[in-house]
Amino acid sequence: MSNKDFRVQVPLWNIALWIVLMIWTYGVAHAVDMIISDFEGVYVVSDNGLQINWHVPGMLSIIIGTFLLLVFFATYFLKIRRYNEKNPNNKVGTFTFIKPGEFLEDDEMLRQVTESATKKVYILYSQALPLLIFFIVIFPLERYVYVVMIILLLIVHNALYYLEIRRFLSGDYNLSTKRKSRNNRLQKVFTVFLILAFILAIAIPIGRIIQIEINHSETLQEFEACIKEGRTATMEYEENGFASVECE
Amino acid sequence: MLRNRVKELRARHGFSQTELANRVGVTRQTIGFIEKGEFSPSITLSLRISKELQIKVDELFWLEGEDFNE
Repeated sequence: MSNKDFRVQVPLWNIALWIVLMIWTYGVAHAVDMIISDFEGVYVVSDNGLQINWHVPGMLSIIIGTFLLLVFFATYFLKIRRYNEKNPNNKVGTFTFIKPGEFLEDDEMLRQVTESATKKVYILYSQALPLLIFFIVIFPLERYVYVVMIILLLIVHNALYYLEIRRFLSGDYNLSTKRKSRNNRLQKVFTVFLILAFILAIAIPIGRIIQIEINHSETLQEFEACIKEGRTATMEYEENGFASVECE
Repeated sequence: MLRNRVKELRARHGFSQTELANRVGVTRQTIGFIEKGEFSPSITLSLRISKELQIKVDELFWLEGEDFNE
């Protein structure tokens, strides 16, 4: 077994697939958003009449993404076929849901290496998913940003797995090695990140409340000034909680 | 740590790591890690290796700090 073995390279194929899907989902997410929540935005009324609003980046992402997906799957299935022809006793399934193709269990040491790699991936998810939930709750961004973050997590997962297996194959592997200093550094980085996240979680809502409070007192003053001048004042509230005064 | 004479006896029998690995049904890398003492094989694998190298298991593997009798 070497680094060029298809089963070893499966995580790299997964990474390639996720990158392609990152491109493709941009257009798809945008198209779905328009159809579901902004259907009126699909059409634009111009001097030439009713026209379809072609969102160029979105359309390009769907076209390029679909093309790349087709190329990817054609190459991937060809590669699997060739591998299975050469290795009839160790075939890779085209669609595997229970045992992923990257699981290498040819012998007892590889089983341990695979266990160690999956353990690292488990740690990654158990640390990253709560942070991701926190990020989604605190920052109200476009949903494609969250899709990208989840895809990046999947890319890191596959990279972590691949690097662990590659270390074994290159002979630079020690099951008993405890990288204490590295683990301690990671622990510190994670703690600092958690503290920052906690501060942000408190600071953002408080900051927002203060902003709204200042905005309300200012608009109230504007409102009163407008009335005193003998004009008509209209208070308008926006969805984000801020208010504005229109003086006529 | 488990010490062993796999490398020495493999060379004596004229096997390459790949040959020995194929005979006992593991990867070449696993044999390499066993020889370096970085992986402790199971009893089954130890018995297979000792059979291929025509030696008793306790003469092939021993714990660090303990003597082995050749």
